[in-house]
Amino acid sequence: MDLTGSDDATLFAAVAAGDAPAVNACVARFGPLVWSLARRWCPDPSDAEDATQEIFFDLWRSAARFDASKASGHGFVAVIARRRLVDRARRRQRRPELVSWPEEFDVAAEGEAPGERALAALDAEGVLAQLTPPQRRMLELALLDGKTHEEIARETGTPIGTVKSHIRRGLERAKRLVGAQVGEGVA
Amino acid sequence: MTDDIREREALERAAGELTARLAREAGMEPLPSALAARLVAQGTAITSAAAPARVVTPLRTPSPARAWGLAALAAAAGFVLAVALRPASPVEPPASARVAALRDSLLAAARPLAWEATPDSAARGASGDVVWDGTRQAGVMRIRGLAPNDARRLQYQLWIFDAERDERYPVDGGVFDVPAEGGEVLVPVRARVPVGRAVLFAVTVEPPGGVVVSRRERIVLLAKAG
Repeated sequence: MDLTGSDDATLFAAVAAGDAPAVNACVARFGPLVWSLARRWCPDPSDAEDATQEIFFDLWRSAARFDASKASGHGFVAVIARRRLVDRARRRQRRPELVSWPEEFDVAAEGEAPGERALAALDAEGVLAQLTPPQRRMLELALLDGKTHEEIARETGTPIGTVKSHIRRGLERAKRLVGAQVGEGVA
Repeated sequence: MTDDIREREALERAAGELTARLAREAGMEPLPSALAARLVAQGTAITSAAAPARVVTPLRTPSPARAWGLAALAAAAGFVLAVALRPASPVEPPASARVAALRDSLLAAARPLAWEATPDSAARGASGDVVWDGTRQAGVMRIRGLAPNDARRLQYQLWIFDAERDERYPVDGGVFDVPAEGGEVLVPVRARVPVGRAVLFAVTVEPPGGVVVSRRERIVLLAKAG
């Protein structure tokens, strides 16, 4: 079966069922995302290759859990990739501060399943478009590159307190936008 | 699931969506072809092994003689067709006969261990046994009365406790489903790694696809050796 153009749910279901062409299609579809994140987070290409293999190992085991009502295929893969990359970063004695979302960054309760409803409505592009450039830059460095607060401060020449507040405000901004989208699109 | 866990998972998913979008906007690097080939090879091996075991529900367990007699009939029919139509291809006995035949062959060398149902609601009235041959590293579970599962929500997973390993890390024996029609099911064991000395078999209820490390929150069946 040719799964090249299939939707993500069909593809993950086929992977979970042990379908070999689906595995091939999955690597083709999500490989660039995983590899790009691994290259950004890992110190060298060899480490990035190891990380990519670990991420796909987790992906093969998790494919059956994909739920298109909660996440996009790329978002689902990015969650798995981030978890693995965080683990590897911690093993290297780095402790990215953003990977575990700050305790104070809570989502307001919204009925039975606030998080799931919020995520279902999340338009990542819309959220990013409404961030200020500094907020967006900080999120890029933290989410995309796995930088710690200290590293972001050094790279941007910004006092660490300012970095933290930018990130905090960026996250709060994202939280509000996500909440607003819930009200518009799902409720 | 508590609200805290649900919210945390939702935040992780939100971070995933933002990360994926940022990566797309930043431009993604193509996967090196050699790495892609390795990923496909590994993925094919892992997913084919991790796919839910084919559960068979024979109305009655066929004896080896009957099973292979059927196979012989099928082979004979296949031979006639092959002569008439095209070059011959191997004809395999049906899955139920293969698993039943495997169980019968294992019983020649290993003693079946009876399942003990736990108080879990899914296990009420469940029974059966598991036979495991350490030499062949093969086994078959026979289960009656275990509640049918919705594979979109949960699946059953077998764990094998190996006396030669840390008991905190039992060997994953594979995930499986019990079909809605219930009845007796035969499930081949799919140990992920070699098992030295199996001393306890446990079936747990897990999220779809199974888990790497079980929280052991819902144990439904246990079978102890010795």
